Amino acid sequence: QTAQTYEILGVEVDGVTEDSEQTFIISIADLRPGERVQLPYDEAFGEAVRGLYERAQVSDAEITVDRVVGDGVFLTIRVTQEPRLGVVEYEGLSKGEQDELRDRLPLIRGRRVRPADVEQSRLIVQSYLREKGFRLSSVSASQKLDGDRLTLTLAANKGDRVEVEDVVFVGNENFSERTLRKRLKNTPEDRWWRFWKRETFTQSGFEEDKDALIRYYNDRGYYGARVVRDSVYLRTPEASGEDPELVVELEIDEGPKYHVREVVFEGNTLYTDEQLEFALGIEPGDVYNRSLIDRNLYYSPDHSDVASLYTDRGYLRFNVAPQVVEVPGDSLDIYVEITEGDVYEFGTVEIAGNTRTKEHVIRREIRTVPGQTYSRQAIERSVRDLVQLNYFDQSSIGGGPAIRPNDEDKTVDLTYSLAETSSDQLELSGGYGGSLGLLLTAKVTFNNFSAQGILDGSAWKPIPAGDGQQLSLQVVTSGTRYQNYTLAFTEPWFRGRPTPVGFSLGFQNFSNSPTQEDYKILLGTAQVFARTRLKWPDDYFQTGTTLGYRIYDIDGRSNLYGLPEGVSQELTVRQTLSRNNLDNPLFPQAGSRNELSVTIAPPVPGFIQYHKTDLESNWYAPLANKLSLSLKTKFGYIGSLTGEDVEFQRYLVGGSPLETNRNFVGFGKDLVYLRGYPTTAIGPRSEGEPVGGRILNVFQTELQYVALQTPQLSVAPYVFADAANSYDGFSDYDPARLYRSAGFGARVILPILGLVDLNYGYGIDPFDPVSTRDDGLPKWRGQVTLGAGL
Amino acid sequence: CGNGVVTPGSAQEAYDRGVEAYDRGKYTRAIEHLRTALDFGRTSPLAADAQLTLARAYKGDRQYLLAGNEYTRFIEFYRSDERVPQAAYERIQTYAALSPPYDLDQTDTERAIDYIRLYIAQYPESPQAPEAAALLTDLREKLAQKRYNNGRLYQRRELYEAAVVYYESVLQNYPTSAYADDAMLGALSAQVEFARASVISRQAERYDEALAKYDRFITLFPSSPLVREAEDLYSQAYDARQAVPETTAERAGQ
Repeated sequence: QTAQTYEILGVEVDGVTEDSEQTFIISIADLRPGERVQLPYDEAFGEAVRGLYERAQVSDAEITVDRVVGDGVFLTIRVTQEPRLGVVEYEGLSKGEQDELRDRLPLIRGRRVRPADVEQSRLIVQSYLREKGFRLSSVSASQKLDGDRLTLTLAANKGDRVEVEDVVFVGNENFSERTLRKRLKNTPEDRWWRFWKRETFTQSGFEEDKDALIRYYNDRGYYGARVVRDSVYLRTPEASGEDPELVVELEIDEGPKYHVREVVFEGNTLYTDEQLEFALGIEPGDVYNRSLIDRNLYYSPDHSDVASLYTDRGYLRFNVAPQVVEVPGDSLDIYVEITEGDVYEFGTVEIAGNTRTKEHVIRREIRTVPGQTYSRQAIERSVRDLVQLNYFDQSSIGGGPAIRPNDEDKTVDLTYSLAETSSDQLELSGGYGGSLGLLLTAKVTFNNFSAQGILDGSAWKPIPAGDGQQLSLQVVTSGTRYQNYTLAFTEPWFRGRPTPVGFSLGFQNFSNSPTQEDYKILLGTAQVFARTRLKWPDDYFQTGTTLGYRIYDIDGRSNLYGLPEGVSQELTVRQTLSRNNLDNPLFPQAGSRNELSVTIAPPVPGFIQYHKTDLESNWYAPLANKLSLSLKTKFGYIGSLTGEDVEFQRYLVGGSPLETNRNFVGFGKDLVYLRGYPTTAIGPRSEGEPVGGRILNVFQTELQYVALQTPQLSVAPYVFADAANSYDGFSDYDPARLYRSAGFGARVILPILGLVDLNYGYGIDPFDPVSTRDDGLPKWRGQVTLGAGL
Repeated sequence: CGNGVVTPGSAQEAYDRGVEAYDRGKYTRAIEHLRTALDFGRTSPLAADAQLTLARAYKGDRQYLLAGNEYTRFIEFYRSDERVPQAAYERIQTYAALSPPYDLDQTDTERAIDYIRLYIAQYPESPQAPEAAALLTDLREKLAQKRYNNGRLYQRRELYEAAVVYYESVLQNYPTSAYADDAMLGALSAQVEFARASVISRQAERYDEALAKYDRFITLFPSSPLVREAEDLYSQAYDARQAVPETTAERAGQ
C-alpha cells in the first residue's frame, strides 16, 4: 500500500461542544481545508497531536479519517479533555504547611487536571510529611466535579511524629559508641535538653551518615570497614500513652587496621616519583588514610596536591586514579595511575550577566588571559578577585566560570556568568560631639561610579555606574558652629592600567560658641594624586605623586599651636616610593611595608614654604601559628627652604584619631598618634602651647595573636611597647630622650564598624599637662580607634 | 467592566477599552484591559486581535521583554493569521531594542540576532527584509566592536598574545564588519610590540609572524584607510627583523 495525497475537504472536532473551542482546537491542530495530506499517515497528524497535548491541554487526542471522497478527505479530531481545577482543599495540614506545599504542587487553578497530576500531588504531600518526621503518615486524594470545575481534596493523616530515641552500634571494638555517634550528624538522638530541636529521621540523611561513618574508619587505617546491617524500627514504649520511638541499629565490621607498604606511580613523565611522593605525603609504613590521600591527590587549598602540579601548568585533561591493593597480612599497596594529557591554553574568555558594570572593569580583574597556559589556580584567583569587587552576587561567581575545552587546538574557552548587586553605601547618623552638641553625618559612597557617564543623560539611572570608580561625598555638621564637607574620587585603573588616579576636596570650619571668646578657624584642602605599580626592582614597589593645596584661616585666636593669625596658603608636591609585601592587609604575620616620602612646599610669594621627608618602616615576623612580632619605626624631618621659620605641618605626638576628630585638635600640624599618652602631649612647647617638633622618632614593637578570624568577627589581642619624641631641631635632638609606654590591646573587626582598635597603655614618662583634663603624670590611659588603625 | 461579572459581552468591552487606550497612547491601561479580555479565553473571536494589540502595547510601554513574549504567543497561537509576518517583524524590533551598549552583557543581542535570522529565512520576500538585514548588521557590528575593544584592552595592558587572540577573533567571526580592518591592524601592531618585548631568541619568529600579518592585511584590505599605518608597522618590523643577530635567529629556527 503506497501513500497517496489527498486534499482536506473538512475538519470536525469531537469531544468539545462549544463552537469557539472547536475553532481553537482546529487552529492548534493546524489542519485546514485546502491543504494536502498523505494517507494513511502524514507528519502533520503527529504535529497536530503534539500541539494539542502541549497547548490545548487535552489528555487524549486522535485524528481519524471520516471518509474519503475521490482525492479529498474529511477528518475528525477526537479529543478528551480533563476538567479544570476549581479548588484545592487540604485536610489535616496546618496553614503554614499548606503554603509551603502550594509552591511544590503542580496544581494551578483553572488549568486542566490530568490523573497523573493528582497522583503526583499526593506523593509530594506524602514525602513532604515523611521529611518532617511523620513516618506514620498517610495521604489520600479525592476528586469531586462541581459543574465543569474539579474540587481536589488532599487529606493527610499525620500520625505521631517519631523522633530518634536510640542509636545502637554492634561490632565496634576500636571506637566507642560515643565517638561513633558523633559521626551521625543527620541522625541525632533525642535528648531531653534539646527540647527546641526536633530530631527527625530522614533516609537521605541516614545514608550520608553511614558514608561519614565508614570514612571515619577509612581515615584511621580501617580500609575494609563496612556497615554489615542497618535497621530502623519503631518501638512502642512500655509505659502506655507514650509516642512510639524510632531506634536505629548499625552493625559494623571493622576489619584490620592497615598500613601502607608501597606507593607506585604509573604514567608520569613530567614529574619524578620522588616529586609526586612528596606531593602525596604518604610514606611506606604510614597508617592508611583515605581523606588524606584524596586531599593530597585531588585538591588541597594551598595547591600542593598532585593534581595541582599538573592542572596549574596547563594539563587540563590530567586524570589520576588511585588503586588500593590488599597485601596478605594487614598491608596495602597504592597504585596511582596518572594520565597526563596535553598542555592547554586559555582561548577566549567571555563575560555574561553584566547589565551594569562595563566589561573592561571585570576583564581587568580576571587572570585567565587568552593565550596563556591553562591554570586552575588562575581561575580560582580570578573568582576571588571578582568576589572582592563586591559588584556581584557571590553565589553567581562562586561556582567559577563555565569551561569549554577544545581538544583540537588545545584551548579552553571560559565564560564568567555574573549577577549584579548594588555596592553603593549610604550612611546617615547623628551623634553627640562633645562641646559641639548634636552632629549630623551624611555620607554616600558609590563604589561602581562612571565619570564618563556624567554627560550622558541616559546613564543617569539613578546615577551613572559601571566604570568601577569610587565617588564619595560626606557632610558633617552641627549647624552653624561646625561644618565639614568632603568629596573624593578615585579611578583605580587609569587608562586601563593598574595606576590609580584621583582627587579629593575638603572644607571645614569651626567657630567657638558666640558667648565665649569669639574665634573662627577654617581649613580648605584640595589634592590630586596618581600612583603606579613598578616592575623593577620587583612588583611590590609603588610610586605616587600628590599635588596638594591647603588654605588655613585663623580668625580671632592668638597662639593656636604657635600658628600665625590670618590666612595662610600652601602648595605641595609630594613624591612617595613604597614597597608592601604584607601577607594580609589587616592582620599581617609576615612581610614588610616601607614608605619614603618627600614633600616640597615651594616658596611661592604669598604661600608658606617647607620641605619634609618621612620614612616609615614596618616589619612582621611569624613566631608561631597566628603569633607574630612586629617592629615599626617612623622618622621625619621638616625643614625650611628659605631660612624662615616653619610653623605648619610640624610633628605633634600622642593620642588616637578618635580624640582629634571634629575638634580641630592639632590644627595645621602633622599629628602622630601614640599609645599611652593623650593627644598633642609630646613635643616642644611655646608659652605652654604645644607647637610640634621638626624631627620625629617613633619606635613601636608588638606581639600579636590572631585569636579568631571568621567573616563575622575577627579578634587579635596584642601587647606592645612604644617610644617616641619630636624635637625642635638638631640642637635639641637626643635619640635617647624618648617618651615610653607599654600595655596591651586588641584589634577587632566587626561587620558594621569595621576595624576597631582598643588599647590600654601605661605612659611611663611625665609630660607638661596640655589641658586640665590630664595632669601629665605616669599612668594608664585607654584609647579607642575606629577604622584603619595600622 | 466595573462590576466584574463574567459575561460574554464584557470580553468585547474589555477589548474595546484596551484598543481605545492603546490608540491614545495610554499603554499601561491598555495592557490591563487587554489582559482582562484575554482572561476570557484564547478561543474567543477577538482573542487574536487582543493578543497582538497587547504585544504592541507592551512595546509602546518599552517593556520589550514582555512584548517579545506576547508577540511569540500571537505567532504560535494564531499561526494562520495573516498578520503573523508583521508580528514577526515587530518582534525582532522588540528584541533589538533590548540590546544594550557593547560593553555590557550581549545575551540579548545574540537572541535578537537569532530572531532576525529566523525572520529573514522565513520571509525573504517581505518588503521589510532589507530593514531586518540592516538591523542584523547593526547588532553584529556591536559584537565585533566588543571583541575589538577586548583586543585593545589587552594590548594596553601589554598582554599581547591575548590581544592578538581577540583581534583575530573579530576577523574570524565578523570578517565583513567595519571593525575588521582595524582589528587586523591591531593584531599586526600587537604582534610587533610583542616581538619587540620578547627575548632575543624568540624575536625572529615573532617578527616573521608580524610580517605575515601585514601580508594578510594588505591582501584582505588593499584599499583600507589604515594602509599607511600598516605599512609603517611593516617597515618597523622589517627593519627590526633584519637587526636580529642571524645566529640567534638561526638557533630559533632550528
